[in-house]
Amino acid sequence: MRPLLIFAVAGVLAVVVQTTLVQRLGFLPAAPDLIVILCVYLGLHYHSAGGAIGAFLLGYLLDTFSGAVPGLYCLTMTLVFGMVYLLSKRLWMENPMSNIAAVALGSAVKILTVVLYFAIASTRAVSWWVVLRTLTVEALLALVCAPAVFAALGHYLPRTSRSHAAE
Amino acid sequence: MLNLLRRYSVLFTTGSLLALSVSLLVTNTRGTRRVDPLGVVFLEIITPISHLLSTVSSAMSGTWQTYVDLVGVRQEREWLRRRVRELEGQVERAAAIESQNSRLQALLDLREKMPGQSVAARITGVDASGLFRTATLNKGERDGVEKGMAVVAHAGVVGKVVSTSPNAARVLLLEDPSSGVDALVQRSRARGIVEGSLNGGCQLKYVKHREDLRVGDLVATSGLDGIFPKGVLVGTIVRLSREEGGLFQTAEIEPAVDFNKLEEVMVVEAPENEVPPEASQAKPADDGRHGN
Repeated sequence: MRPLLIFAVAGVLAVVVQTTLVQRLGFLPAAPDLIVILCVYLGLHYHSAGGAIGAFLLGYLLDTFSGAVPGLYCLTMTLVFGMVYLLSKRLWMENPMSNIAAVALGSAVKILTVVLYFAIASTRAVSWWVVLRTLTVEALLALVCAPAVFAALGHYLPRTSRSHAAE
Repeated sequence: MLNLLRRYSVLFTTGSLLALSVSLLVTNTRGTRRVDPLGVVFLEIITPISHLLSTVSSAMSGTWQTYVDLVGVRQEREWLRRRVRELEGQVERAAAIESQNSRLQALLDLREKMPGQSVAARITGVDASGLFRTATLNKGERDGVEKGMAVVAHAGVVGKVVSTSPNAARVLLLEDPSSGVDALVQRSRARGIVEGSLNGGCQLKYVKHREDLRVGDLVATSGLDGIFPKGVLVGTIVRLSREEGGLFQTAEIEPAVDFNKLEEVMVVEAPENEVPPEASQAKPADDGRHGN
C-alpha cells in the first residue's frame, strides 16, 4: 500500500511541477519529463503487474494534462516500463550510471513513439525540427533530474518493498 | 495455465495495457468524441494543488525579487534595511494588485461586450508536455463552463474548452497545432481558418488566391463557426505566402494574446447565430482530434 501511495503522490507532484512550477521559474527552456523517470524506476524496481499498471496510469495522467490524444502517453509510458523491465531482467542495473542509462533509454523510447505517432496519425504539417528539439530538451532535463528523483524514491521506499517478484 | 500466467504476469499485463492504450489512441484519433474515462478524476485531484502552488510560487518569486534588489545595498543600518524591505514588499503587492485590477477591469469590460453567459477564470497550469499548447482553468462545470465554449481575454482569442470536470477545465489554445478558428480579415473581409503551429504563432489558411491580404491586416473571428463571438481579435498578419498556381494563400499571424503572460480569461457561451448559405461552402473550423 505504501509504494502505491508514494507513487501516486510522486505522479501528482511530477505533473504539478511540469505544468505550474517550471512555468513560474521561467529560466528553464522546457519542463523535465519526470513521468518518464518514475516509469523507469517502476521498470527497474517493480517487476510486477502493479508496476505495469502504475506506468499506464502515469501515462494517462500525462495525457490528461497535455494536449496529446488520450492514449498516446499511456502507450508511451507502458512501452518505457516494458523496455526497462526487459532490460533489467537481463542486465545488472543497480548502479547510478546504469539508472541514468535506463532513463536515457526510456526517453529514447518516448521520443520514438511520439515521432512515429506524428508521422502516422497527424493530419497537420509537422515541424520535425521543433518536435525533436522539444523532446530532446525534455529528455536531457530528465537525465539531469533523474539522480535526485531516484534518490528521493529510494529514501522513501523501503528496500523490502522493492519487489523483484518471481515470474 | 495458471502457472504460465503467474510466471509471465508482468508481460501479460504489459501486453494488455499496450493493447488498451492502442485502442484508446485509435478511438480518439479517428473518432469525433474524446474517450477519456479517468481524465475528470485526475483534473479534479490535480487542479487544486496546481492552483495552490501557483499562488505560493507567485508570492515567493516576489519575495525573492525583493531580496535580489537589495543585494547591492551596502552599509545600511539593520532597522532601515528591514523597513526598506517592508516598504518594497508593500509597493510590489500594491503594484501586483493594481495590475490585477487593470486586467480584471479589462475582463469586465470584455464581459459586457460578450453576448450570452460568460465565466471569468484563472489559468492554473499549462501543458505538461512541450509539444502541445493547452492550459488548465480553475473553473469547471459547477461554474457553468462546458465543453466547446470559447475562451477569450481582453486582448483577443485564447482558445476553446476541450474537457471539463466539476471544478476545472482544459483549454486548447489558439497556438496548438490542432486548433482551428473561422476568421476573417477586417479590412478586406477575406475569410479563412486560423490554425496553430508547432513553431509557435498561427497561420491563416485556405484564403482564396484572389483575396486581398496585406501585412499588418487585423484578423478577427467571423462568428460563423458557432464557437467564438463575431469580431474577437485573433491577431495581425506578419507574413504572406502564396503558391504559384495554387487555389489558396496563407498568412502568418502574430496572435493578439501573449500566451506566456496570460492569467485571467473569460469563458463565453457560443453565440446564437444563423450560418449564411455561402458560409457552408467554406472549410469549417477544424479543431483536430481534441473532441467537440
